[in-house]
This record gives sequence, structure tokens and C-alpha cells, in this order.
Amino acid sequence: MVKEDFPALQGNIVYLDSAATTQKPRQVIEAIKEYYERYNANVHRGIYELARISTEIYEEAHEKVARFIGAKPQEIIFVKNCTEALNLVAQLLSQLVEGSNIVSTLAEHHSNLLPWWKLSKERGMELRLAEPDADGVIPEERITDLVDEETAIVAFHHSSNVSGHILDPRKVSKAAKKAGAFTVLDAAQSVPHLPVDVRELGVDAIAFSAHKMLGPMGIGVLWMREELLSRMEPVLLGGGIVSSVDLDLSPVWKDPPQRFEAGTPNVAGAYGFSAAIDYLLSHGVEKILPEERKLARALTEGLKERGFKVLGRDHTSIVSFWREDLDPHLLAYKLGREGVCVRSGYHCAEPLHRHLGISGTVRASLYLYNDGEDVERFFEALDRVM
Amino acid sequence: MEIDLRKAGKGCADNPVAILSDFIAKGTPLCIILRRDQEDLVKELLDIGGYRVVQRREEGEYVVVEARR
Repeated sequence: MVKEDFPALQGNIVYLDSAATTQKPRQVIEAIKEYYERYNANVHRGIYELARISTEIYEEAHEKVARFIGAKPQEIIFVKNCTEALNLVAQLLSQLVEGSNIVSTLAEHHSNLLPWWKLSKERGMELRLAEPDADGVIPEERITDLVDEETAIVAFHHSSNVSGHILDPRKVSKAAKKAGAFTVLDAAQSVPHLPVDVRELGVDAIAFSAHKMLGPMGIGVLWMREELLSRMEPVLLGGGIVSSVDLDLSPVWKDPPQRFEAGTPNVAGAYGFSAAIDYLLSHGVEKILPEERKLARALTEGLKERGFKVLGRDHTSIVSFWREDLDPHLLAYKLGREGVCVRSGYHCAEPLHRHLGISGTVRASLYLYNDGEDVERFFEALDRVM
Repeated sequence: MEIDLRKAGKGCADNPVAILSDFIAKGTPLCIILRRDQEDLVKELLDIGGYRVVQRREEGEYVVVEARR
């Protein structure tokens, strides 16, 4: 019955591109509309009632996101998206890091690779990249084997946006902590699908986006431990981040998170994000991944029966597949004409594909609104176009 | 519309299918400069989009295809 909540799914489409962005339930769409119709005012500035309500809405969103991942509200920095969060954390950590190497993996999304590449170039550090196994999966040991006492940062994914494989962050963070390194987790594909408690993960920072968990585009989250945030200077400077600016311009920074949220924030987005979290909580976050696994298993089996190779193992919400004799883009195009929405190419993880010698895959990705009928219709379409 | 596919890649946005599909959706008459290894793919895509090739010529190591609905 979930599908009925999603206006975009009422047409004749099979939406299997939720790893790129999820569709939005009516509750989220209505919340954004409600914000602009009833509460719109800038935050942390006005002393009139509307501005007070808008500020309250924005701060409540921090609290709601914090509760959702077991964090404190002051540790939640709203940014534009996960990419911005990962770039921001790289810039913030550059203020604290000591060491001669950064560890990441070849299976990262470009957003969790290029900021570390840039930082390593700027600092003359070595960027060590863990290689995937033949299934395109990074076993945790391949990351921890690269960590030594000179490692400054370990940046890795929680759930791969290509294979859907879920890493155990605790194994990595334990080794990193022992070496004195900071840990950054790309949680864009995990927070939407499974319960995440940042304290249990043992990492120092995580990044994720609202739009991949039913929320609006244009708002994402950087969570970082309070003790680290309090030691850092802001990267973006301007309004909203200072308590005072003296005649000589020497500023006094506000406390986190405001110190890191310069300028007018996306308040409507934050309100929509709150509505998305309410929706997920009422659905039951713990139910999402088990349901997706069932559908992913059916997808994987059906694809293998049709001669496709499938990346990864123990599939979760993502199934990336290819066949040497089929161009992935042309196949995705043909499926699109049948009303089946899938993605094709490198999925912003070109080094992984190049390492595996694959010139692109088709990716079907699931979320809580998908059901067995979607899988059936996917295969009906696939059989028609092949 | 003249479209040069010679430097098209295999990523999400820079591949021949992504580049051409926008124009095909609009029904724009096309003049496509492409590599020989792209020819089968492009012809299949044009065919799906209801296009017919009205002229094909070879220019050195490249091929120029004119197609319209």
C-alpha cells in the first residue's frame, strides 16, 4: 500500500533508480508547500513571530535528524547534499590532520574519492586505495591492511552505490582509531535503508543526503563528533556563523552547527526532510532492508538466468548488472522506453569499473515503495527489449 | 543539429546514448560525426527512435551520418 503515498509512482512506470534519488511521498510534498504557504521567513535573524516559527522548524529538523542517527543536534550540519558534506569534511579535517597518508577504496563514489585526492595532493600525502575483490566488493581487511601509524584519514563507504555491499564500519574504525586516524563514512546508501547509530559505528564523521531517503533535493547532512567540530574553523564565511565581528573584522564564531552553516539555509528543505524522517519512522526503518533484499534476490536470480553478470554478493537495495554483448546505456534506454527507470554507466564510480575491466553496468536500485510486481514488470520489459 | 560523438565516453552523461536521446526525443534532424566503433550502436538507437539514415559518408577515420524522422 506504500506506493499509493507516492504521486510520481501512480503512472505506468517501474521506478528502479532510488540509489540516484528517491520518489517523494505526499507528506513530504505537502510539508514543503505548507512551509512556503505558512511559515516562510529567514531563520536566526528576525524577531517577529513568523521568523521565530521558521527558526523553530529549522532547529527541530536538526533535532529530528540527530535522533534518527543517534547523534546530538549540535553535531548535525545541514549542507546541500552528500557531495558537499564530503568536500566540507575534507576541508575541515585538513585543519587537524597530521600524517603522511590517506586511506580510501577504489569502490568509492567520486564524491568520497576526489576530495581526498585533492587533499593528499595539497599536503603531499600518499593516497592509498584498497582494491575490490573479483565481485567488486571491498572486504574490510583490505582497508585496514593499508592503515598504519602514519595514516591521517580513512574514508570509506558504508554501502556501495554500485554493488550494494554493506561494510562493517566498526572493523575499519577500530583499526583507524588504533592508528590515530580520523574516519569518514559515506553513508548516502546506508542511512536511507537501515537503522544507523553513529555512536555504534565508531567513526568520526558521516555524510548523507535527504533526497535519497524520501526527502527533498538540496539538503544533506554532515555529522561530525562534537569534540572535533568545536576545534574547527568555518570553511564558508559570511552571515549566520558569527556571534560578533569587530571593527578590525576579527570574528567570534558561533558554536556548531551554526558555525558551519553560512548564509540562508534551506529551511523548506529541512521541513521536508523532517516529514521524510517521520514517514520512515512510521513505516519502520528496520523493515526496509529485509524487504529490499528479497526483491534484490529475485532480480539477481532472474538476471543470471538471462546470462547477465551481477556485481557484488549478498545484494541489498542495489543490483548492478552487465552482459558483454549489450551496451549498458542502450539497454537502459530501451528499458526507459518501456517505463522502467534504471541507471547506466559508471554510477560515479569509474575507478571501480575500470579496475574490474567493465565498460559500464546497468543499475537497478530499490526502495520501500518497490514490490514484487515491479520486479515482474522489469523482467517483462527486459525480455521484450533484449 | 550537428552532434560530434567522437569524444563521447562511457559515463552516465557523456555516452552516445545519453547525448543523442535528448535530440531523438524532440525529433530533431541530426548530422552525427562518429567513430566507426560507435556506428552500430548509433544506428540501433536511431532506429528505435524512428529515424532513418538519409546520408552516410566516410571522412577519413570517421563517419558522418545524417538522419531524420
